[in-house]
Amino acid sequence: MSARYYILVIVFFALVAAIAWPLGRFLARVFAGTNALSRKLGWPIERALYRLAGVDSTREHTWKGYAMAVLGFSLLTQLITYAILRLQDVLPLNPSKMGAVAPWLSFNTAVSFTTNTNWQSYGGETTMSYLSQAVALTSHNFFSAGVGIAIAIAMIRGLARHETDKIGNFWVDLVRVHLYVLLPICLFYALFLVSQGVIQNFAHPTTWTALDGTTQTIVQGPVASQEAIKMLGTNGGGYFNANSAHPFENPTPLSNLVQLLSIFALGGALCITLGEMLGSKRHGWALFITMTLISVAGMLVVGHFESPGNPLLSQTGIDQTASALQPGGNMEGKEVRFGIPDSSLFAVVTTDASCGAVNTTHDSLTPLGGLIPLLNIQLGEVVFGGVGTGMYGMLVYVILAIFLSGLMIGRTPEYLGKKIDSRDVRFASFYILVTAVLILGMTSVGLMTEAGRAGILNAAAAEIPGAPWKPHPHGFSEVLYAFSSAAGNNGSAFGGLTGFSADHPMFYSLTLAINMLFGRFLPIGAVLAIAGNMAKKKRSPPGPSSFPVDGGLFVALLTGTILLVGALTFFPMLSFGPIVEHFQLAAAAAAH
Amino acid sequence: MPSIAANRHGMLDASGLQQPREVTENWKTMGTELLIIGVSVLLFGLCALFVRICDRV
Repeated sequence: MSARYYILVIVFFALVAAIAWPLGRFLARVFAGTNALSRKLGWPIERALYRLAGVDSTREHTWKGYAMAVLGFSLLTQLITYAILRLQDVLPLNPSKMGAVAPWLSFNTAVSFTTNTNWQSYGGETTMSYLSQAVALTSHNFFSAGVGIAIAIAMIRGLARHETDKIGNFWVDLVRVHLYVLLPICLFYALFLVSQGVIQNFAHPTTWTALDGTTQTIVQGPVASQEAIKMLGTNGGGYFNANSAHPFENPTPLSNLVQLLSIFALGGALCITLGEMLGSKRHGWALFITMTLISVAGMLVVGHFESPGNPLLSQTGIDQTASALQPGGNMEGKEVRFGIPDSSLFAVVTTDASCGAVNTTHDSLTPLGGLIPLLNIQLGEVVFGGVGTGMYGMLVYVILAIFLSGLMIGRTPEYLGKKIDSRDVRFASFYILVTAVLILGMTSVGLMTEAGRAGILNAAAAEIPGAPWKPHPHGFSEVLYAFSSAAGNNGSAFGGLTGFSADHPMFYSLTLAINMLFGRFLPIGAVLAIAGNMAKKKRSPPGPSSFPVDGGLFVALLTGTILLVGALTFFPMLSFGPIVEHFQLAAAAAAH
Repeated sequence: MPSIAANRHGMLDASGLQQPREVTENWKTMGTELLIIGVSVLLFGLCALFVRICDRV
């Protein structure tokens, strides 16, 4: 690894911390309704919106009411998005005369954007009209991010309050996160992206003739406005098929760095918000440090395996060393503008969070380089995480870690003055298990069915007499990654997999959608149930028997719990895919 | 991120957009539309059922 990579990682986290601290404090004030500027400027708009929607902003929800409001809002917006995609051929802002998006592809896409996954079984520039991109998809980028943050805040309220069954008003939280956080930041963020060269227009596609005489069509469109929330909201769905590797989405090294920072900005800030709202700033920083440690470990592994390049290519005489003329290393599937450091960093950051935007092809990472993004997703994307989802996922792990430590030392598990009871542990366990069941179960279904195997690109490795399928560990990884990405609401892919085809329009559209929906809303139900249960409890002042949640011991315990649960659950599947592929590559290199 | 198989054009070239392949179907298949809307409602309904079950656990 180059020194530049180490410096990049250090500078990156210093900047994340510098952004998270003020932003987190601001979020705490916004959701408490105590931010002076927002109360003065925003309250008339808030009040008008509540009146328009018939919402009583003073009436708070129980956890069940909060959950039902989330489900109702998400179903309604999903159906609206589906309708826009199906009708885009007769709707305005369609200068390329795009046809209606196919039914099952529309369904998959609507679910994908509703759940903050942004899995895309289509190329944006060849499928979506400007209206579909700017309204149907971008609005969901805002809504799904807002829902995630609202739930994280509800969870924190559940921990902070005592002897009540109310955890906040979903509609108020949703309005405030949009009005004071997402929309203002994205306005300036989009303008910054335009300054870097990201396009923002409604012009017709441009046709030009290249030097070799071939004609190309360059798509235009409202890219910057979608790009800003795509990154800040950890959505990840690109305007273009090449996502953040496309020069119209991510034109400069500066835009690349800012895009990386914006993925972690709100996730990091919510750690600070947690500390502020719970009255334990050190606890918030302890979570921030835990996330940073796991993230840095992943960055070092990916950088380590991507930097030397492919050993088989080296043996054929191909020079993969870094020089003034080339970045060196495993450059298959990577943008030459970004090289190994920025590509490796991006791959880890986008899967630590549930973003899924990419500036490199994850399918082309080395086997163990590709294992890290896959493992990040399978660990639940609690490392800064998706906006909101990372925070409430991490809080579930905190409850489990404290419960396990209580079992080990015979102490009643207690979190910030509240006793953890069997109900909390049941819901926390369900939270962990539901994602694992979805990933492992659906991967099995994908591999056992002809429609599932038909989508695999890297299918053939060796003939096995009598076997209906010629298995290849990388083909297995494609399917495992797809269902992990869907259940984890990430959206990135081992992109060789074809998620939608004329021969099999329904299989991946439906199975991935089931993983996306259940992977999003069943954990949300469990989290809100924990929040409701916690809010009812009495809070006792911390005593000598309370487990400290702000020191090195806690950080180590929490890190160990996350890694242990992930390793035990997914190691067998990973050993069938990237791990065996790594040994195959090593064996092939040794045989030459 | 989309599947690379969804678009085999170059990074900048989108010349396939005038002839969208399988995505050119129009609003003809009302049965499929109803099925998809039904599936959507069913999946969300199951999530709502889960919330009710959690409330009683």
